[in-house]
Amino acid sequence: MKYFRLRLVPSALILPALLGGAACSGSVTEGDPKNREKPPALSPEGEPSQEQLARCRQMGEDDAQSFAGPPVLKRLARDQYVNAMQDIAKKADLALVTHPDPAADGNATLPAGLRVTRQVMVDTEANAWTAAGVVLERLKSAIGCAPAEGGTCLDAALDRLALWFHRRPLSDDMRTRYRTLFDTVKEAAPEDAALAVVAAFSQSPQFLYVWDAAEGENVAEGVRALDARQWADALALFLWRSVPDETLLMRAQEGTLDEPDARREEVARLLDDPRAQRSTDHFVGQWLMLGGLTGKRKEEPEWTAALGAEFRTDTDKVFASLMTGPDARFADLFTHHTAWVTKDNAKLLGRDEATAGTGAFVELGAVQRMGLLTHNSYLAAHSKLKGSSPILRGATFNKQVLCMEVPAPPDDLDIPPEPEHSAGTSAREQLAEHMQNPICAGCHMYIDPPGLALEHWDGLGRYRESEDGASIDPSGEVLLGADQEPQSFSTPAELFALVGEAPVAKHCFVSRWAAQSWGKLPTRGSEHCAVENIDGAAAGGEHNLRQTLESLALHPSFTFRTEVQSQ
Amino acid sequence: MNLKTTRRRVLELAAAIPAMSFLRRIDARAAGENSSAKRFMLIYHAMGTSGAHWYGNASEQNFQLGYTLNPLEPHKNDLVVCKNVNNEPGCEYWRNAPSYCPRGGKVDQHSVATCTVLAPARPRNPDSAYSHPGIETIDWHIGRKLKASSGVPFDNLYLTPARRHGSGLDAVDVFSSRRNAGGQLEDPHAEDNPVEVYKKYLLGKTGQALENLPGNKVEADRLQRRNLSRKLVTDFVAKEVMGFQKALPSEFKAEVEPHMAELRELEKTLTNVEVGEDKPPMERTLCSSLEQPADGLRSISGGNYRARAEVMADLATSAFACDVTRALTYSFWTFNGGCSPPNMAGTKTYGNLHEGLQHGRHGYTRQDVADCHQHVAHQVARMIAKLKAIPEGDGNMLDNTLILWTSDMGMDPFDSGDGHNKRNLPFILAGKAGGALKTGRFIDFKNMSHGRLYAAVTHLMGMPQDAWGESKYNQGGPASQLLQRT
Repeated sequence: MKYFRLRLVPSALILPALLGGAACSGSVTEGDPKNREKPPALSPEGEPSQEQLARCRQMGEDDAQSFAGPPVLKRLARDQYVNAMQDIAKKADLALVTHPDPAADGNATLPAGLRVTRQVMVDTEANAWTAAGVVLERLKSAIGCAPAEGGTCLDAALDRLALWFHRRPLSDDMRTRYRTLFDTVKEAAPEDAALAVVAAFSQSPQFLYVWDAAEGENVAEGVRALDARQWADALALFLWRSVPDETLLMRAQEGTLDEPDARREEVARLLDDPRAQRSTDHFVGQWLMLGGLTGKRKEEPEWTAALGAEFRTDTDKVFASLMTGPDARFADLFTHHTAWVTKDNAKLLGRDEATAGTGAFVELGAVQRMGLLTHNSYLAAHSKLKGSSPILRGATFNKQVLCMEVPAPPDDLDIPPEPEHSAGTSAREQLAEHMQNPICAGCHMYIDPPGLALEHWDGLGRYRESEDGASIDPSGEVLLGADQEPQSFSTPAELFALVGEAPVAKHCFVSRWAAQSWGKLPTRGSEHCAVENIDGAAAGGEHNLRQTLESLALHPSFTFRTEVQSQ
Repeated sequence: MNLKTTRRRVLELAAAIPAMSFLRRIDARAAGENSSAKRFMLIYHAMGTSGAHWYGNASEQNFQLGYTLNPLEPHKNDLVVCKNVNNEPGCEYWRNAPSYCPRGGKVDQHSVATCTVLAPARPRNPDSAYSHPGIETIDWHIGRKLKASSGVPFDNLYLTPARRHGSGLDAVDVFSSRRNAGGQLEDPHAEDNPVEVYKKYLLGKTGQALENLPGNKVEADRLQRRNLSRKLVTDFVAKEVMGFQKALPSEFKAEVEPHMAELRELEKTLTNVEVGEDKPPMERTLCSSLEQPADGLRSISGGNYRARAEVMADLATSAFACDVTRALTYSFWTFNGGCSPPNMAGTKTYGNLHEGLQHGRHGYTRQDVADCHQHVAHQVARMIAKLKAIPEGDGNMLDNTLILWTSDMGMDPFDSGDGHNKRNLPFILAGKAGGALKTGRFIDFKNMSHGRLYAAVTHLMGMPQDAWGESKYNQGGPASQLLQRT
């Protein structure tokens, strides 16, 4: 018998069927959109009803303004900041000191998690001076003169730095202030004057923050669109996790980004650029909760941080190719057999280390790899110190793939310590009491089956026919939606096929991508509605993954903002 | 004018001071020399460690770091991880003196190990618990040479976060075995109190040392100017953030308030030198503005081991950055609750770790050992990162430093049968030694005596010797793998 105390944070949906279970149940959460009263008409505020959500799914261009949300103040997340500094310096190995942003939800970056802390302040100031020299060299080469000379060269430098860091032209006032800074520093430390200007740009709020109150055309009463420059900025932060390149900025500045086709072109260009993998890496890390993989403690002889990094690279590469390639669909996320094989992970994947090079896509056997949930990264990240963990894997699956929250056991539940694994006893046998004890079964009937379906993969994600001498039975039932009946599966492949076609999983996936594109979790009525609409559009495109990203970048929710009243 | 800042802050900001030309001057002075390290740091922890966690799956073809060394992953390319380097005199001595049992005899196994680990020779007197081979230990030798060639105030600082004077547990600490050429303990610069380290070696001496170094006045002025530049930029940024905040709708203003507050804090740490002729006094320089460690860290108490270890690590890098010494020995007290991964606090104390790792008792797992030593790896990574953040010449201070990390025992000592295996010691080198050492490598030395490794170290340090220790432990000469630059 094995017990494990789950500790999960609130997710977007809590399925009533799950919460209707025994002792670990609670009342139906008010946040469940399927249990809402129906307001008379859709409002950007409040939470939509089932009926409204159904309407949201069908909305077209005429209703575009309904998706407008209020503007949001964001600060560049840690990865966006690093990417932006390296892109501006044109130096991929620019050494910067950064620390993790305060934890948000684990699913998306929340503005509340991006407030400036002491550590952020110290890092940003130190990095500003570390990077200044490198950026200054690039600047000199870009403008063909040395800004330290002052005069027109300084003006050219300020214009270029504003384009790079602020992603907008410099106002006259701001130009004056930067010139004053240059002159003041020059008086005190002539050798620092140009460096100081660069250092100031990289610490400026116009670089570090995004305040996305729309400055474009008025599309409806109280609703404005982002102008081309703002859209370009948002697009790069979404698809590259960085600032726009000069091509994108110049197109915005020249007014050639106003037409939908031009925007589609840019979305396609950004998705075809290697920098797009930063966005897919960020997403898959948060979605499948892989962030702590390399630092994970494991009592497996083969385990090293480097191996964890290889696992992560495998997943990042495969996921990026699926998301940005032309043909992959949502179901492929759970059915592909592809791996990124290097000499460092070849052995664990059953490949020849000697012939493996620095990395190549390889089709593994259909039994060994069946989609992302059978990647070593997911399996190793959600396993115990030693061996697998059906509970961790199953709980993560419910929370992250289905957006289903599994509540923690009640505080007053006396949970015995986890017993030692005994040879010849399968995980299913050890977890049997979960199903026999109604106190446990209320939750574990949903947690354990998808976790047990992954028992053919050990704690490092290696495929195995048996578990320490015990045969493995991966069959079970899975609940794929609050309004659905549990569905049976007898093999992992059957489970993954069900998941790949499950509307709840597709909706969850779209919802999480929407959160990344907006830089915030969907919490408002208009945002829930937008997710529904985008999910509907994705369904129309048979859930083509690249098209889903394109839909997000071109969707009104990405572009429209309600106007701010108070000042 | 307030130049006072925290010690940590100074080191963090050191990364932002590319013009620490007093360090460049050091570099320039050495430019005419052969490529060799200008600084040496010996890092030591007791008890050996868990081989599986230390090496992982590493091989010469597949350079990896095991679990214990995870914190060093960002610095992997600055390391040389060595395998199968043995303390042969330690082994031999023990084999030939089997009656000297740790509990029933005259000599402690750890004494044997610590006496020979830095001086590869047979101890003179096997009947003495702290018998020493009578040759200079490698750290002492290098420190003395570096002081002579550089003119720094101190030849070698010995720092440790915790030491139990007179408890008998000194046997597991290299402190007792660090000897001069006459085999005598001569070590006035040993400290386990961070406050005393600050007072004795950094507070008063630093300013004097800086002043005494030619060209330092120029550098001090340069640092002052850079601090002023930083202050001016920070003032500018504060005004920009204030303007940005002002333009936001009222409900968003509070989001930016922490940024404003932190900018104000940052400003306090920077100089507020006025522009003009009134230059700041000499003593207000980078090093002398270090802040005294908290009084609560003076002695081990209340679970402050980790904080002391961290502060000592920072003081060690400060001592290099301020150029008060070119050689350091940092010894970790890697047992007791002080090592303190959560599962080790309280119930699993020194006795258990020793009994567990050396004798396989008391339920200690190798994971416990790995967790303990991963804490050391964290501190080593901390020092490496700080040295890398200090520009020097065309590179950074780590490039011109050689760090040597080892232990008294080897890998999985209990597995050896006698419980005190002195083979396959955990040797790691870090830093490019002034360009003399090619890093980013895993080397299997296939049971080489550690005397040959130290002989190679003398070459890397620019003070070459054909052997280090007794000749019988140096057969084959300096480890050639370490002297290959390509």
